[in-house]
Amino acid sequence: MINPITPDSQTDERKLQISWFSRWLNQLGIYVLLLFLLAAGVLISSKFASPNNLLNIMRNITLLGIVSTGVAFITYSRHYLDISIPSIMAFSGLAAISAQSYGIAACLCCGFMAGLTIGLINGYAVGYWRVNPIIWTLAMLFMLDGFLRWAYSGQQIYPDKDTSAGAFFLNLSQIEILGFFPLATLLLLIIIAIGHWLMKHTLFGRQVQLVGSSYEAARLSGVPVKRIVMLTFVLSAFTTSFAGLILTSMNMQGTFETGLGYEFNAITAVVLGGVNLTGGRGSILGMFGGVLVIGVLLNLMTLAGLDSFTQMMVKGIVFITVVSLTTWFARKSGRIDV
Amino acid sequence: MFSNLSSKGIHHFLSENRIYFLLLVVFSIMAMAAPHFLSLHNQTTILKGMSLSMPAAIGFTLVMICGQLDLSIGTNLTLGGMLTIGLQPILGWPASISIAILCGSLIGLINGFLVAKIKVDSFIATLGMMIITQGLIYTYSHGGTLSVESFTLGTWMETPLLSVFPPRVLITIGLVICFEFLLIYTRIGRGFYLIGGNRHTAWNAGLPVDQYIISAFTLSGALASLGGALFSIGLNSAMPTMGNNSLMEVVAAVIIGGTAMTGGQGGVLKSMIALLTLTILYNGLECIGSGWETRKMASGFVLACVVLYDAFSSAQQKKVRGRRHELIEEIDMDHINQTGRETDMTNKETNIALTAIAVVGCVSIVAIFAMFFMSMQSKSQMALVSSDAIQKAQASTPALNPVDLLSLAQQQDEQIAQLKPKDGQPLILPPSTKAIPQRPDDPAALPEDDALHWYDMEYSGWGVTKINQPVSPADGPSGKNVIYLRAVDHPYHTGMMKGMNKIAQVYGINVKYKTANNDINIQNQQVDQVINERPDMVIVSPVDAKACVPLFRKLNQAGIPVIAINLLPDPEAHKYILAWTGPDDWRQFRLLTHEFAKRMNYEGGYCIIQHFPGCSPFFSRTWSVVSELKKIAPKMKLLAMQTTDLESEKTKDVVSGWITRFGDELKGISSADDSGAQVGINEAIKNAGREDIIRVAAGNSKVGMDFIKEGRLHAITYQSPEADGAIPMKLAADWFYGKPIDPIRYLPIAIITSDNVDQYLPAQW
Repeated sequence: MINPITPDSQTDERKLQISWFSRWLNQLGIYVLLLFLLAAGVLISSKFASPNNLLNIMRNITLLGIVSTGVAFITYSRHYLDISIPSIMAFSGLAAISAQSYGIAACLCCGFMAGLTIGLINGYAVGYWRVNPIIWTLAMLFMLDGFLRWAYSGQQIYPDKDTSAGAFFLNLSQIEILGFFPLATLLLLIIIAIGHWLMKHTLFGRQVQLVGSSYEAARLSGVPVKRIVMLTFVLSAFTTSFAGLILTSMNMQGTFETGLGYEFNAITAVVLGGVNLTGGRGSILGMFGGVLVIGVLLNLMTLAGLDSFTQMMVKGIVFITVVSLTTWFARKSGRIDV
Repeated sequence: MFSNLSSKGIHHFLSENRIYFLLLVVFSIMAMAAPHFLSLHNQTTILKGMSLSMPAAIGFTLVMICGQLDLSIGTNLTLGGMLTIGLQPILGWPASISIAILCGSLIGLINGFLVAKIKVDSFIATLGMMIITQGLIYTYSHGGTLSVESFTLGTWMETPLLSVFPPRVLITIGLVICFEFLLIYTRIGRGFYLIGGNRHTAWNAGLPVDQYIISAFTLSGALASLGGALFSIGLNSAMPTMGNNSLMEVVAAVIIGGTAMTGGQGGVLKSMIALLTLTILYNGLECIGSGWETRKMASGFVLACVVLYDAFSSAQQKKVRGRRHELIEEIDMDHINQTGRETDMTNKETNIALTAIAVVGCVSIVAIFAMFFMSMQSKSQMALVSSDAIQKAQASTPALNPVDLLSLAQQQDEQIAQLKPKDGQPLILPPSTKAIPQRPDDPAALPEDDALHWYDMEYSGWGVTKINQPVSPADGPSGKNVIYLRAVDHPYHTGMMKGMNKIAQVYGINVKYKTANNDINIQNQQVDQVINERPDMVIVSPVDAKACVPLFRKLNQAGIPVIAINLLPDPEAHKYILAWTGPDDWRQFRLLTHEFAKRMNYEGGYCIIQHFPGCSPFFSRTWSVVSELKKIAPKMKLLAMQTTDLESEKTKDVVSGWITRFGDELKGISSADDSGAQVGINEAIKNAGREDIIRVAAGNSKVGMDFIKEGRLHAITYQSPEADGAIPMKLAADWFYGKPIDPIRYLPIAIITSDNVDQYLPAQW
């Protein structure tokens, strides 16, 4: 819709203020909810604020956080998400274990290469051929899932403790820095930091934002749109296969079932964290807030003794409410034009 | 219209109607390649298979024409089925169906309100509603399957009228026609397209855009729940997971049918044809005998091809967008004139190619019909010939005398006794006997922690009178065809296949298998296919204990002998089957519970990690522990129980929460699984430094046994997958020899602790 241009400068300023507020609310407002949940946690259980419990929450959100960081870039570029995430996770884990007899380097290399290949195919199809991302990655999920079942004839494979690579691989999820802080969680924090820097402080991040805000405008102003879109999918596949490797190492077995449900959990966290599906809005820090909220909420509900089914409903209701509220505020302040 | 049908026109015509061509191609390939595919009965199977998701697909198409998405159709479908079945005993069919549809519409209404008024992206709004609805469904059904007693309406729904169309299918097709008419020929219908094409234009043209979008979502919710209701009536039961596969299937079908995600394009009829095409593809692949993985790959491949083609043609369209056709034509003319014959030739060549394709298409259509009729004729002749041949063979070969058969059976028994799975235990484990208590008058009235509350689940099959059982041919198992319907593609079930194949080889039995991926709709179709193929025996591992009853009933009525395995079905189901064999989950867990209590010194608090909701172990591996501990260790206290879908991540999350919440009060954890879930439990325990917690689990995978060796798991149950698969095949062979077989055969119970773990290594899976 065409907005009538008003010469009145006062209204403009007011609009700018609200817009600043709403941007803040949209991007970091999730931390308000987080604070609220933390306060509720302290009230509900005296054990909530213990360092052990807080560390547990961090441990539990590690994999979701890693996957979500990659997905956030896809969402930021207005390409929704990569639905083939579960099969990428399974594939990278299976590939890594398959290569364990050739050493640690080959093992990790194979794992990442498997994931990145799929990311590259997804990115190429979506970026260069302009295929709808949801549908294409859904097709990829079907094909890859079928392929993995066929290739491993429906069986699990195990890392072998006796080979050095197998032992290292099993240890991957167990290493703890200073005896208490898990390596994977530390890596999550590093990935978040890099992701934030990449999204907000590099040319690449800016270009992704422009692509997300307006694909045509980005194209016309000389942004290599196709390459940018492809890169977001490759980036997402990278973090996904990383999470896949850690999950496989933790499970001590590779199966085609690894990673089920991560695609929707990740997009939930991303959107909750203020990275809009309309593209070009949000930040990695906000997304991290979304991941934290999910982690704290689940922990809180377990501490409060809610049963699994109620937990599910509460999670859904919180999700819808938060997203509705942010959308409502953003629209009231004129940031989303519908 | 056809007078100016240029090559571009043909191209347009092809791409507009590509789905019909796709249907034709898939159908003809399957008709040529797949045995048993062309029978009338199989056509009914295909139509029935399509009709579960079809109403949901109509709604989804409507929503997508408006340019939105509805991810909640899968759970809406389940909700519809659940409410219909759950309320029927109280309210009767009409009221329960109406309430189910109303609830579906209500969820659709909320979706529509969120999307149209609050302006939440439809992907997100419906994703949230999907999670909430799934929680509601589980809460309503307590994670179990609901069923009703009376078969009358269900049977009517499934019996074909006019020899092909059951009422369930007719209703679905009627709905499709109504909505196609609405969309194409009414002003309201055209409004949906206008909104999807350009929302602002529609608004400017005076259409109530929000109302349209809300009504699209409401209709989608109502239709999805209607689809679930119809399906569950046909099945007499509703599972809390029955719509799980529908979402992805519907999305794929609607896209293949040519409805664009950007909105404003497509149609209900095309979606139906696409869903039909996919169902034919699956059905044909199963007739050929390929597994779940091929099916998955094939559907992904078709979907990928279609979206690539879409992307290609929209790129082609963009090239000429906004240009004036007459000018383009002029340029083309100039181009031809300048470059001369060469372009002319290529044009001619494309024309020739198109004509050739059209001719081949026509010829193949005629050929298929000819083949269809010929195969029908030859089949009836074949049937005559084969029955003649059998009679002759029986009359002429006295080699089939009983004494020879017996000695052959003995030889084979000796051969089988030599066979061993990887862990060195016997392949055919001895049967184990079980004391059957008196059934209480009303088990449901007893409290849940009383073992007899679960009487019908645990002691299912005892005291049931079998009806209409086929008589053994008593001519030996050699050359017999057996079809095995697997519940799911899982390493344990892969182990079962292995055991089954070993026995089948000894007896010379041909085994074919089909996998249902835990989807009752798929297993239902597979049963129909089996009836069509008419094997000598069917071995079924049911997807669900209650929902399998009508499936067994169908097989029984078709006169095919059935052996059920692994999952113990409802008492009603035992009427229709020869025998059941599988693990005695309840008693296994009681034995495990004794070990659990002993190790905990009969005191302290404990928690339970449950199996997937909606399956039998969800109950057996929870309540046998609770009821037994109440009896033998009244001092032990149940602190909490939760299902984590057996995923390590979720389990770790839950267990670390428990450790924080209960602290030292928590002394033991019983788990429904010793691989994924146990990994999560052990991780949480390690992180909390609580290695003193006693852990027991259902076994026995490699991961679990490794834990036992490390001392991080104290006891697991012994459940041999190869024996679980081998025993039913042995029973089948015995039946073919005419020997009597036990109607119920439990696998022996045993537990594995650090004392005896070495006997069971290396692990089978």
